[in-house]
Amino acid sequence: MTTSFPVDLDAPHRRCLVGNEPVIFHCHHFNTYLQQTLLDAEYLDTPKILVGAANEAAFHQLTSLFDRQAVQAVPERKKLAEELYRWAGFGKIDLSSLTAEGGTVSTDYSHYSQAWKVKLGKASKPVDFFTSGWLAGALSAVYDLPQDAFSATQLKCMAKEDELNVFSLTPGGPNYAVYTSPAGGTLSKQVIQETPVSPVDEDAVFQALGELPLAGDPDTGLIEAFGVILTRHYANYYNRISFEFERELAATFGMEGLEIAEPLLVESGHVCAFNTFGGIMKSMEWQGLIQPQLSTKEHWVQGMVACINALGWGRWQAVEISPGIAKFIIHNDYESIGYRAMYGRADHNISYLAKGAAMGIMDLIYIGHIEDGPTLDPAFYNQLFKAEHSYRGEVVKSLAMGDAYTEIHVLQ
Amino acid sequence: MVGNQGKLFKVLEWLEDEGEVKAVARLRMKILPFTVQESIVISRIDRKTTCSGALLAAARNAASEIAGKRCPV
Amino acid sequence: MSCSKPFNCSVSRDCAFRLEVKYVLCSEITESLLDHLQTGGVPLSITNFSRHIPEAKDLFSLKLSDHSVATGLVGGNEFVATYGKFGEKTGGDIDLGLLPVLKDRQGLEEKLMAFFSQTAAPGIS
Repeated sequence: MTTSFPVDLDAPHRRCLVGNEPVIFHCHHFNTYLQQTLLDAEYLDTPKILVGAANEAAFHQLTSLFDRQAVQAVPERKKLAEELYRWAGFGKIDLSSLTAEGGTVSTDYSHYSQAWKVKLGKASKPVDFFTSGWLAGALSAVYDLPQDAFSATQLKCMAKEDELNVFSLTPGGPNYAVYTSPAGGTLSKQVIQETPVSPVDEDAVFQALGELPLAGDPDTGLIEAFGVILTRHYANYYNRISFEFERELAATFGMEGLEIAEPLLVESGHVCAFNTFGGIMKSMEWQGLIQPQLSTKEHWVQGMVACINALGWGRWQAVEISPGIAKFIIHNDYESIGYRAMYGRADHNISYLAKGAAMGIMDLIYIGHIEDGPTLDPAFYNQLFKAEHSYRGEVVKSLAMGDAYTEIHVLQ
Repeated sequence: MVGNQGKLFKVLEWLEDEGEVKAVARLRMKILPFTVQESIVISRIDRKTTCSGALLAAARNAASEIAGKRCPV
Repeated sequence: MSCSKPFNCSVSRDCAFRLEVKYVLCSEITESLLDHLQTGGVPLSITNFSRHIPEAKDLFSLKLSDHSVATGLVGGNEFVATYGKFGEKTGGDIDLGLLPVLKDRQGLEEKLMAFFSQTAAPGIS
């Protein structure tokens, strides 16, 4: 898969950067659930966070890329931005109608709007906050203007059953929160731990999965794989929206706000595990590449960890695996790296996605018997995760809080 | 308020049964300003808890929206 | 290659309510079958997993149209095709929105039938 922009793979740390922004795989289930969590707090102005975080990442990434690739002319810059948006699986966008004075742009493929409609039904308001912010950031970068030069408004949305998504960009200042991207953050020294003997050749899996053509389709700009719709999203986007959200809740409601956000942010990871990990473990890719190496449930956990390590989330290790407990060590988990770069050392655990994902692995394999190929639908989800014997997670070490790595124990 | 005793708890119980995983957590998020205003800690709501009519209505509406069906409480 | 019944299939909906059809063929998927399926300009991509892991099977993906794709393993005897535009809930009944999808399905299954050159009815469910 060739792109006109460099994709920087940091294989030892299991990370990937484009334009100095860490990019990670996440599916439409996670994207919509996390956005829904923020929008549920109607008493906070969370759209300004969603739009602002996209503006932040897009502006920084494209500014970096234009500089690194020495792309000066506006048409070439727009072309690169369009290609990047499609490659990442956000949909299709045509920037030709936009100028330094703003303008209107429409699209008939949008990850966020189409995902919302499929997962949550018809929306009453436009939901593609991400693309609104992305456009504002991209346009500023294209014209060498300040990051917050444009306001962005979504006028029509396919999730509302409009035919197209339509966005309007207007000069004169932002209608969203303005953040400064922390770029790739500072990595901690990675000391690989001993793990149980595994039949899974993890490095070979990493290389093989890296060869999958996981880029937005040329015609739709969507990435269809493993039974879900993927994005190669910005780690800084997820981090910004999650952490700004909990900070606003804490500022407004104190500890109660923080405590209420936590289970929903973890649940986003759980939703992600169920759908993406479940989809991976039922996929042809799994059957062809991973499954021939596996014979026990513990091997399935090891196989799944090998796949996670191709998602850009940092380097995962399963250091202990049994039906009763699994211990996962994560070196440079993207949440901790982002938190420290954005806010400094954390005073509480913030590896929400990682915790939910680790729990989901164990639930899928030991309770859901994913090897039998169950249908991954809401009924199965409720059966699996509402069960009293489903797994719970404990973050026992946190890189964000100053430990050398993040460690999560998952137990029944 | 006494007339509402236990009704908020019943809304939570109904949503626990009818909603998806973490439906009650979503409800908590939606009605947080009301519960804070009335000094109600959601994790401590029980059959004896009383609340205002406004909070009960907000909880009922939010529960209905989350479960995708009318909350009968 | 001739089979009395070249394939069986089971139909379900994926998480985006698209038609998902699992095909089980009467024989293994060979490169000549894939050559046949890509006639008419259907893009085929193959990921060589076996280059990295000796016991692995290579993955193929056929882009049947903008909205339909088939994925399976070379040397396996089953593959999965997903038909339908993401974001358009087609529901349980066939409607106008599903017509292009049916065309994709029909095209693929006709090619399968032709390849196996058989006379019995296909296993469309």
